[in-house]
Amino acid sequence: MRILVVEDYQPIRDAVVLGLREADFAVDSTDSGSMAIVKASAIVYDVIVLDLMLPELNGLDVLKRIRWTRNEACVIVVSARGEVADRVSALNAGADDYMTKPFAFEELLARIRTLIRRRYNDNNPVIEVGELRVDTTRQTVDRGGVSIELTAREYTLLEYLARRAGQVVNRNDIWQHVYDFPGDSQSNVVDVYVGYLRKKIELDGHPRLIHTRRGLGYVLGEEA
Amino acid sequence: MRSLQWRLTWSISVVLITILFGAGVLLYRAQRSALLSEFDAALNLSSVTLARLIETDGTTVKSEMSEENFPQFSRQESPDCYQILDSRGDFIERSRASLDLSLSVQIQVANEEPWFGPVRFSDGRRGRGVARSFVPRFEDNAHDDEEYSFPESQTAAEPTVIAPVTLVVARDTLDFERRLSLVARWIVAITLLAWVTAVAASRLVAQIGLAPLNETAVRIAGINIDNLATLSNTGEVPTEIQSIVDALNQMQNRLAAGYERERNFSADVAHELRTPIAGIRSITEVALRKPRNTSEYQESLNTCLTIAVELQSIVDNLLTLSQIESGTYLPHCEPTEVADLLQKYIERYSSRAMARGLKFRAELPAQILMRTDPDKLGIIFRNLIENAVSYASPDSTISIVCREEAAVVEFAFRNEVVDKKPFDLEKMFQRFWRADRARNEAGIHSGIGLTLCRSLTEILGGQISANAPSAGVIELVLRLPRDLETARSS
Repeated sequence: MRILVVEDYQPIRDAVVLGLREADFAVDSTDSGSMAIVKASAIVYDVIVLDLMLPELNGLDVLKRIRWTRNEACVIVVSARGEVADRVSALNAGADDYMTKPFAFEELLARIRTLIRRRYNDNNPVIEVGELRVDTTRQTVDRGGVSIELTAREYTLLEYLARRAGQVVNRNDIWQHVYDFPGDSQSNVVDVYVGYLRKKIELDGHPRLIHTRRGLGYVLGEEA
Repeated sequence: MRSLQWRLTWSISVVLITILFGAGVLLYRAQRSALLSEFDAALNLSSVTLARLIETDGTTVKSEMSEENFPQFSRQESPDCYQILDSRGDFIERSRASLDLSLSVQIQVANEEPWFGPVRFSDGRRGRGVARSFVPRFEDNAHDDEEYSFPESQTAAEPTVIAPVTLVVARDTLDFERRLSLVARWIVAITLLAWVTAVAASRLVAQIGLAPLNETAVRIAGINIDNLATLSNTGEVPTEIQSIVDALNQMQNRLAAGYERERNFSADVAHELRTPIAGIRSITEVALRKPRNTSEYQESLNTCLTIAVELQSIVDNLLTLSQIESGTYLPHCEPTEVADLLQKYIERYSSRAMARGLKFRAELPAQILMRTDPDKLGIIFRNLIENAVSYASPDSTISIVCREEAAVVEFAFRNEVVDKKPFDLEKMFQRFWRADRARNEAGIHSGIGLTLCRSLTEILGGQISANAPSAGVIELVLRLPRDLETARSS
């Protein structure tokens, strides 16, 4: 899941980015409102963590412009201003949630996960695809009761495929939602990671779960 | 005095009882005088009647009165009294009841006008009598068995000269005093009734009259910090207290404005402190989410330390501002080498300036000797340099120029800013005002640095102003007296 952190106060920005990456999210960050608009129009983010007090263009204007472009990313506004009027104006401008600084990082994490579940129309934090169980809260995976160890990237890839189980997911979507390092979807990075994932989740004696649709992408499911 | 209403009622009561008492006394005196006149008239009539019945034949004096005609002198209970005396004071004739002799003798009748006055009966009764001296009516055959013979000398020497006699008629005043006492009781009763009624009426009137005051008091009692509405509009209160209500409304408006400023100040302070606290919390929470190596912990701690220093700066500025406003932050004067002081702060901020690609260009004399408060001047320099380092355009130059005059030393801090849009430079000295409402990459700012600079500059006897020499360039000019003590004494 890919997240954009828009925060001009560097210590908070660095800490949130680090914490989210360690929670297996793909994270981009910026300290400016205008750059946030550029990034949000170029990349499909699942969640945008947006500070209101930003240089040049304030967070509320950024939010309005993002919504004006019909960007469907969930937005959590994080601000030092905690008055009702501030919350109402942010929510009316299109924010999905509002947190007041200082905040508990675990709460931010929980709210981000809630928004991601809502975005993919799945309120259950445990995603089940056949025998495969992906616990998005504890970030654990097991198949038929057998625990499977995954790296952060592999887990992020599997969670994204699981959230879109039964749908064909193309490489570009995977790239945009899972990877935050330089490169592009035309590289074979996605294929390589799908290969790693297959080896770990497709255990001997169990049916295949990740199916390739040549020229289209991948489908996660028990049936091809 | 508990309340205005009680005070008014009390005052009216005292005034009323005084007036009523005075009126009662006057009425009593008038009644007494009338009764006395009536009493004296009756006495006088009685004495005149008696006097007409006294006659003489030149040698003897006799009276023709009988008990049947004058039963008042012979009745058993409280009989009246009459006495007829000759010119020497000897009794010619008298009634059964008699007057105290000593008093009777004292009665002096100098002329024909009757005398009225208090008398005492020999049986102890108090009374009032009338005495008149007159020459009895002459009758030739007045002499008979009951006649009174004038003394020998008088009859022998002056048989034809009739000597005057004195008639005293007295009546006890028991009935008079009873009637007077009744009048007095009525007057007292009416006075008290009038007083009680008037007090009750005055209390009611005071209550009605003071009702607007009470309503105003209730409204004032209902005023608190959360509800600082004005008391009442003109026209809803009596004209007598309109000026008080107006004054209270003005005071209320001033209080409301003060509270609003305090609320905004508190909100701004809370807001400014939340961001660095959020930074510390995020960094520590993320750092503690999993075991890390030493360098990662060190990095987190260093960041927290940097934020803590920024927080300390904010809190120091707030405390200093608070002390200045409370009037307890007074300067102490001492010889100060200001060039060194300024250089110290330039060096302190050089690493942060370098991080933003900024350069300092300081045009300072080798020595700037002043008599001032170095601590307060240090706070001013720190805030001005921090402000320049924080808001200067990246990769630009911060210029600090010192110009010395005879009695004044001027420091000009000039830097470029990112936002070229013109704005009201005076607003820079308002609390929590920022040209760019957000923080910047250099760190956090409380928005009170320049407010503090202005307050401290005034304490040091100087002025600070802002100007824009060209678009996108801000210059803050600090002018201070070279000798603070001399400036203060002049």
